[in-house]
Parts: sequence; C-alpha cells; structure tokens
Amino acid sequence: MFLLTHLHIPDGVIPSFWLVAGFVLTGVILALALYKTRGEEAICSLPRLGVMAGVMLLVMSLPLGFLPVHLNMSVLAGIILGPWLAFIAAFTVNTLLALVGHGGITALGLNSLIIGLEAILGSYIFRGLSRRVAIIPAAAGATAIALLVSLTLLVGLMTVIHIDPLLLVEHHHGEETEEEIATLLEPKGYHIHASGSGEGGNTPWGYFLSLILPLGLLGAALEATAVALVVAFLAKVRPDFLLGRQPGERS
Amino acid sequence: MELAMIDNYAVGGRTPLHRASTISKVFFTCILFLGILRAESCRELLLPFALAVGVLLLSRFPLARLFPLLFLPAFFGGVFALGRLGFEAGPSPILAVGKAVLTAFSLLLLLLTTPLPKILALLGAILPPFLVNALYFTYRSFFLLWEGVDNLLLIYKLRGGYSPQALFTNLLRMGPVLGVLVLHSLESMEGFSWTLALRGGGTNLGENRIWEGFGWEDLYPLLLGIILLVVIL
Repeated sequence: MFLLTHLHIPDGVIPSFWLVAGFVLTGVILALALYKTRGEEAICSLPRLGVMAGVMLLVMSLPLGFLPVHLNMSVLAGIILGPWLAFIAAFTVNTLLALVGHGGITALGLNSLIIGLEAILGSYIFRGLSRRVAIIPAAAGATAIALLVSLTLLVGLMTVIHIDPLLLVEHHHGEETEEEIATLLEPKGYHIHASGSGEGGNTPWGYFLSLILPLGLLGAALEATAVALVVAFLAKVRPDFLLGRQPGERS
Repeated sequence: MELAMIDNYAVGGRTPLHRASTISKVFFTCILFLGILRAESCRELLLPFALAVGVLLLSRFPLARLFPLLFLPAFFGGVFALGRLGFEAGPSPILAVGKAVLTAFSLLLLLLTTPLPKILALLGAILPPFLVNALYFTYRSFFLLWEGVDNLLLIYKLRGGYSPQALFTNLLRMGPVLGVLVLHSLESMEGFSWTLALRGGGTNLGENRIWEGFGWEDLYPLLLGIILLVVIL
C-alpha cells in the first residue's frame, strides 16, 4: 500500500547532506512546537495527541477498496490538535512507521518534515478559510492546498538531492556567466539548455514525474473529501474538538 | 495489522535474542545499519544480509511472514531508484532497493525481539519526556483504535456499506465512520486528560528502566556487532 499524497522515503537513496538537513530542520520545528505547547495544557493534550496519531497510523492500514492506496489524515490532526501538536503527532507517527520499515529511519527527518508541514499548513489554512466559508469547503480546501504544497515539496526535494550543495558554496557571486550558473544548478548528469529547457522530455525523471503527479492529485482529491466528511460530522456533534481547542472550550 | 503481530512476537518470544538487553540489540542494529548504508556495491551488502537473516532464523521467526512487511520498503526503494535513473551520482537501482529492504529488515529484527516500551525507554535518554510520552500514547492508542475499528467495520460491512469495487462510495461512507471512531476515542480520552492534570507531568509514562544489566545472552548480539564493525572498518 502506498500514500498517494507523498512517498515514504526509504533508507539509502538520499545523500547524507539532505538527511542531516532534514533532521536539523525537523529538530528546530519540534523544539519550537514543544516550546509553544509547554505547560500543564500540553500534558492534558497528550491523550488527544496519542489518539490522533493513532488515527493516522490506523488509516494508513485501511485500504480504499481494490486500489493499494490509503489516506493520511495529517490535515485532520492539524484541524483537531492545532498546528504544533499536529507536528509532534506527525513525528511520532513517522517514528513508529520507520520502526516497521514504512519509510526509512535515516529519512525520518525528511518524512516528518513533509507530513508535519502538511499538518501545520492545513491547520492555518482551515482557520483562515472557516472564517469566510462553510466548514466542509474550508476543510476540503485546506486539505487539498496542504497536500499539493507537500507534493510540490517532495518533487522539489527529489530534484535538489541530485545537486551537489558544495558546488553552490564554491561559486563566486557576480562573477559567473549564465552558462556557469546553469551548470552549477543542473542536477548531475541532467543537462539544462541555456534556454532553460531540459534535455529529453522522456527521461526517467520525466517518467517519475508523470507517474507521481497524477497520483498525487488524485490522492489530494480523495483525502480532501474524506477529511471534509469527518470534519462535517465533528462540527455537527462536537464542534469544540475542532481548531485545537480543549474539550469544553468555546470559540 | 502487522504492528499487532510484531508486538505479540516481541512480548511473547523466549529466544536468546529476546532475553538479551535492549542496549546490546540496539548496538547490533546500529552496526548493521552502518554496514548497509556504507555499502557501495551489492557484494558489500551480503555480510549484513547474511547476519540479519541468520539472527532472525535463530530467533525462530517464520521468515515468510516478514515478506509482506518488506514489500513497502522494496516498493519505495524502487520508486526512488526510478527517479535517480539517468543521473550520474547515486546508487544503482538494485543497490537502492537492497539498502531500503535491508535497513527495514534490521529494524524489524529489533522490533520483533524487543517490546516497544523498552525501545521507547531507551529513546527517553535522548528525546524530551513529552515526545517519549507521545510515542507511548500513540502506541497504546493504536491498539485501542484497532479493536474499535474492527468492530465498526464489521457492522459497516454487515449493513452493506462496504464494497471492494466501489472506491468512491467507500470513501463517502468512510468519512462518518471515521468521525464516529475519532469522536468516541477523543471522548474516552477526556477523562484521562483530567487524570494527567491531577498526576502532573515531567516523567515518562511508560517503562523508565534503561539499564537492564548484561547477561550471557548479550554476548550474542554484541559479538556479532563487533565482528561486523571490524569488517566494515
């Protein structure tokens, strides 16, 4: 089974520089999340965090019919827990998934970053949209936008990992020609013409993109529908569970 | 769900590797990892692979049950290897898939022989208590939710709500089903939130003991790890 909206990066395929960068960035955001959620309220939120992270783990085990695909629910976690607790939930889910081989342990930083940013973005976008439109389109819109952004991040990551970052450090500002800049920025072995177009529209990289992008768009649509339905149900029955409020807290 | 099967085997197993301390098993897993990630050819992967399979066979875990768990890392490794085709840098596709599968295999070996609360207790040495508690709660919640969703899905199927061919209809109906599950779980946890507020925080909720002492069973993963480390270096 795989997740349409992002790929669980396995071990051994990403250069070390990007793995370390992923851990550093995730560590920084985790530290910020722990700081933002410190105190007694954070302790009381632990059960809800555990439940939403458990839901994320669970839906990743439920296939949608005959297709080997599953939902994610990171944006739902962002809507219920708030952005920072949802990032922590995404990290715990990825840690447990990495322990069972669903995504690499060395790629834990990058995987957590992608899913965690989905949750943070989804939470903020939902807050903004729910003030302007009804709950269902707000939830669907927030999910679709967050997932498309994370898919773009993933595709961007898969592009930049082919670039040697040391080359970017060694060049001298202002002295290089346009061709030299293109050479520095092009992924190793993939030639970009001066016009900006890539060489060969039918490269394996092109096939990779043509496989991932339509599946990602389909995944975003399915997930947006599912999250909107769950949020609509919760909004009818227990609206105090939405937007990271404590139980019983009113808007 | 494989997490339930893995947990059951980790807790119920009585092999020498099960009785070894968590620290020695983590040491062996880390050395295995190092050997796998440093490998630059398929031949260099053979020794870590042979060690991992040998240890798993000695732990009397049926190897065939692991294959479904290894499908995902093989699939993702293949997808990412496909993305790297045509580029000069990076491992060959077979090496990429081999590394992805073997690293997953090493971690599964650790998880099959060590209950997760013990691994979380060890993680408590490097992670903040809140994160360790979050991991423990997630682990606990998953099994509670799994039992709940099992019953819910049975009712759903008995009432004719699920069909393997009707993807869109399943999705439309899955929303409220998940909503009910999330709602019941969150409500049942509300009382526990008040318990935690009274109890206070700052300490691990799960197992706290990191040091379990060394016994003769620890020689087995420690010696294997040292031999592999010498070969790698």
